[in-house]
Amino acid sequence: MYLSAHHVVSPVRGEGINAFYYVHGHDWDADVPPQMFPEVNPGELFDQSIAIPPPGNRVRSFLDVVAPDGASPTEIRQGFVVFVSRSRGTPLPWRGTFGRCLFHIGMDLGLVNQWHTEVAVLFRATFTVRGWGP
Amino acid sequence: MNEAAERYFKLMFDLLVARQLNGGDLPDDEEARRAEELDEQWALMTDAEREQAEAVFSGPSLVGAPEDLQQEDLELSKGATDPPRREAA
Repeated sequence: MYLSAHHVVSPVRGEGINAFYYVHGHDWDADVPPQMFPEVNPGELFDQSIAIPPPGNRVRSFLDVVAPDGASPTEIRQGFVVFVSRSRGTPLPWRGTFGRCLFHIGMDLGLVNQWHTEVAVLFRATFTVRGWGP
Repeated sequence: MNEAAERYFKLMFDLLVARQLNGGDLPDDEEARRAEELDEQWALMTDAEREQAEAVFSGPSLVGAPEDLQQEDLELSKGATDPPRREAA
């Protein structure tokens, strides 16, 4: 699966979080296969949560998560925590593979001072669009 | 990661989101309730898990970010096989 959350802004429609849930139809046992990277094959869009209707909104921050379709929320959360703790202190964007999951985070300079909250909001949005509510 | 650490990270992410949704802060009693829950999990965590938590949630230490990501989103329908954003035109 590919989960993506965007913090977007539009001069007309305002600012908010959009999120997308794609399915790959594949599972894997080790590292994410390169052919499942979002830029190569995002999968098939299964659901989306739209606060600011596209197209053309400027993306201020994003979080991408790639994991096997059958991955559990616990597996993804644990990988994400390791990813953030190891990436912190390095220049954005961050991208890394942990276990069977790949994570990618980017944000613009204006959000850096509130990066903890930004990351948490994006992470929550990916879980929500996947159907893993609070 | 044991169950307490897993719970701790979930609670912290939830707390950050709740503050954001509430405009930055939560009422004192809710902050206190959440802090108590966090403390309970913290007490059950290993030193390594606590260090990891501090690495994730302690003060800002981001090194560099672009002024603008130069990306824009796309309008997609269910079943689409395009990614949800692209380089801005």
